[in-house]
Amino acid sequence: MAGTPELLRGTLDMMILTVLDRHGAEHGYGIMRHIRETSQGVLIVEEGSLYPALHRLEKRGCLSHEWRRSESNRRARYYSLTPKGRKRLREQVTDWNVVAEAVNHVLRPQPAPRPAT
Amino acid sequence: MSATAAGHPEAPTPCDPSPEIDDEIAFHLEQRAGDFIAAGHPPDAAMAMAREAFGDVEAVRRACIRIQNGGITLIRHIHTVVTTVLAIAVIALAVGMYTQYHRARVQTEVALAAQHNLLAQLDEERRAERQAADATVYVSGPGIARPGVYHLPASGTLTVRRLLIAGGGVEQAEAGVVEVRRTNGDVIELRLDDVAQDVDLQPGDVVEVR
Repeated sequence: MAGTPELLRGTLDMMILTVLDRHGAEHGYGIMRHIRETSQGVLIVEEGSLYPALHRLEKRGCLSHEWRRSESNRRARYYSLTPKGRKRLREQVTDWNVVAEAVNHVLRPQPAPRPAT
Repeated sequence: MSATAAGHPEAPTPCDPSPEIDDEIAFHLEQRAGDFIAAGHPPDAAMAMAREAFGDVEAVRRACIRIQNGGITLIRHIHTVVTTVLAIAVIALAVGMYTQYHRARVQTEVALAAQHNLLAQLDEERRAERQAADATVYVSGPGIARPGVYHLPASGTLTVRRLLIAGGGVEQAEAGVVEVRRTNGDVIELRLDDVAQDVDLQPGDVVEVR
């Protein structure tokens, strides 16, 4: 894959929910860093999209937040997954797997049809 | 962008999300600048690089505020709808109560008018009965065969002469002198042998034949 593509549209929410499910409470910058490191620098979260997505997920009840001291002793807003967010993540992963499998079927080379005898 | 680490209250008011959003973005920029510094960039350039990497800070800030205020706007909408529905219900109730009151008042007035008319009719009948009872004369005297109370006719008049000859049974009318005493004290005398003398009787008259 050439370059560092941005996250596919619609997958940012799934990435955020996955990071919080695996790593527990995290602030926005930490979420962005986890996505970049886990994808080995392939997936780059657009910072301008990250915070509206976090606030939107929180408004929908998928996330909650609390203010804590970060590693640098700076006050930071930490997000956590709610039961609703965990359920939403399961649904999104299922949908993603269905779509990915279908795309792979399309991309896979098809055997040539046998000539009629 | 006015966010700074210092100066924000520990617990910003939930109605105004902007201080928290400013603080959150400021934290992000500081972390990003820290990474640039760790990567060997000069500290004075690191923050500018962090801002450039972030993009349009003000647009992101406005988007987050809009999302946070969406809930408040929804609550306001619900509040407005509920208030409007309650106001309509109260007005409808008031109109209904007034209509019931007005209808009951009209019905009461009609009933009172009917009662008033009935009472007036009863009064009229009683007055007529009383007048009928009062329209009597008393006839007495030695020349009268049937002394006693005589009723005056409801319509027309009755004279002394007609009463005495037709109903009183006067035996010696030719020689009689009749005295009519009125309720107002007047006394009228007339002679029966003078056919020209007669008088209309009035209720309460006392007729005495001598």
